[in-house]
Amino acid sequence: MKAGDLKNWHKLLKTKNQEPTMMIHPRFSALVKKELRLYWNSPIAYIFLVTFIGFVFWLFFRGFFLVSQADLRGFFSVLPWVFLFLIPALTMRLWSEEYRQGTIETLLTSSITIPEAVAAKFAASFIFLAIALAATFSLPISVSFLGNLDWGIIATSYIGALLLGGSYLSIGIFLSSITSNQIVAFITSVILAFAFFIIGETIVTFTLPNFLVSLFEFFGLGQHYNSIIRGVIDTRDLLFYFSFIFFFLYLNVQTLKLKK
Amino acid sequence: MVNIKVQDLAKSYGEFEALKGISFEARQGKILALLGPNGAGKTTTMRIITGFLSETAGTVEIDDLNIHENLEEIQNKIGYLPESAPLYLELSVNEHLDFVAETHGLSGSEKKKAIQRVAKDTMLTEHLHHNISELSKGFRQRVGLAQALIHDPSILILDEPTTGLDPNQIIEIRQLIKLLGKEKVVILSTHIMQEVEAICDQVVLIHHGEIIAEGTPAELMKKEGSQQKIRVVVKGSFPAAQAALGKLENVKEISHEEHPSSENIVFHILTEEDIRADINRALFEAELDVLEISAEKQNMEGVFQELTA
Repeated sequence: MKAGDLKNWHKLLKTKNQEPTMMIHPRFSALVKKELRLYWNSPIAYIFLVTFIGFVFWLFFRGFFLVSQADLRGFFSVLPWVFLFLIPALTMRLWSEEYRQGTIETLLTSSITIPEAVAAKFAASFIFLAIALAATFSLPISVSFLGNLDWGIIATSYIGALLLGGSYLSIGIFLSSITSNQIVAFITSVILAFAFFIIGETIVTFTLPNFLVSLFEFFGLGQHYNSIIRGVIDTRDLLFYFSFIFFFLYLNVQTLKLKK
Repeated sequence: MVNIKVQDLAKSYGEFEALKGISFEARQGKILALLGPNGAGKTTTMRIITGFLSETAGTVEIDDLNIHENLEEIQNKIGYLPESAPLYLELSVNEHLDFVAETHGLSGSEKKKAIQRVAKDTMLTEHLHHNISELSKGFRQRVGLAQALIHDPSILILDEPTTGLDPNQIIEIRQLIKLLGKEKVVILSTHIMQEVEAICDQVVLIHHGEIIAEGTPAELMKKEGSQQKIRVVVKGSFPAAQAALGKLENVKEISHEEHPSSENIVFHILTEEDIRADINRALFEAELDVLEISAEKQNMEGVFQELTA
């Protein structure tokens, strides 16, 4: 800073404040905001939340009083199955609707890049998912009154749920870019997410030759999830989820580029 | 001076050639119309200029910048209204304009001012809080135009900007486009001939992916208007009039219509030369009362039909 600048320090501060200090580009946050508005301005958000919470609570409390143990293992083991059907419902319209309405044209001609648009859709749906998960906090809170709850496991389990949900989201958003038919996007997302979830389970791998078993176990979303909800966060699991999500977002970018 | 240079632009989808190498130039202060029947390649051309589609061959240069090397810079200069004005139906008009403004880097009071400005220009001020899903086709078209104008671009690309509007709205939007065309480069596509005659300075006629004619509307009409239609209204006996006109030279075709409930007879004479004086003389000699002899104005519609037939 030069000495002369100091006289106008207040102006300097002002311009600094207007510029985004974080790495997030204003264009990107505009995109995320728009995606979130599309959720909340339509019935999708409310139907999703009510169904999700209703499902999860019912499935949890059905078994909870039978086992009479103060933990949330039941909740977290049922979560992937609820996600399996609800997350594709959240993602099925993300690209297909842009293509059907034609808004993709204004979107991609307003100096927004394709990677930005893909990342924004993922970010917005991830935020929405986080809100839905946050709405289940009442579960551990109420269970903690009944017994001694291991909060560490609860925390890692929520992280695991977010990562698994994020993986499902990346699959769903990618498949929504392939078809302009939402039903097709929904069903293929359920199938692919299901396949990746169970691929590492013994029931799938026991017929396979040995070298494939470890490969399948590595790619099984369920394997990584199960180890996280046991309370262990391994960097390998984190890395796996990050690369998994990145891979499908990358595929998504490539599909959109191909359509040009 | 802003200009757009399109050179040998071609686009194929597999076997199908949507554009077969077209070249034209658009300049600041002029409104250029891409005219042609449906499926001629107008929308494809616009999509390539805006960077939505990539071309198979050829180049687009805007202010001497190549569209691929400077896509972001170029896209910031362009305001684009795609065909049938696609919008996010879940948003309100205000939310939609807010989003588009932010994607162009506008924020705070600058953004608010921009929204108010375009809302005023497109007569949407009172409709900002309406949901887009509740708006009629005409209003959606205006929102589409408003979002194209929000960052005050120096180039406007409008794909059929007046479709779906009622006659009053058409006039208002045309006035707005004409006003904008004084300081910006405007490229619009249309298949409405009156639109071209009313507001365009330059016409590029596209058919099956090729340019088949270009020039000012007047030039095009002259070029294709070698034939002239003359309208003649006479009072008196029909056979006498027919006989008198039949003797004329340089006539290609005579047809007639009768005015209902009057003894006036209307003839349409197709000719290659201006023979209005000869017609007058012939009718006068046949002792018929001449009520009208006029050259029917050749319009773009005729040119269009002739060239794309």
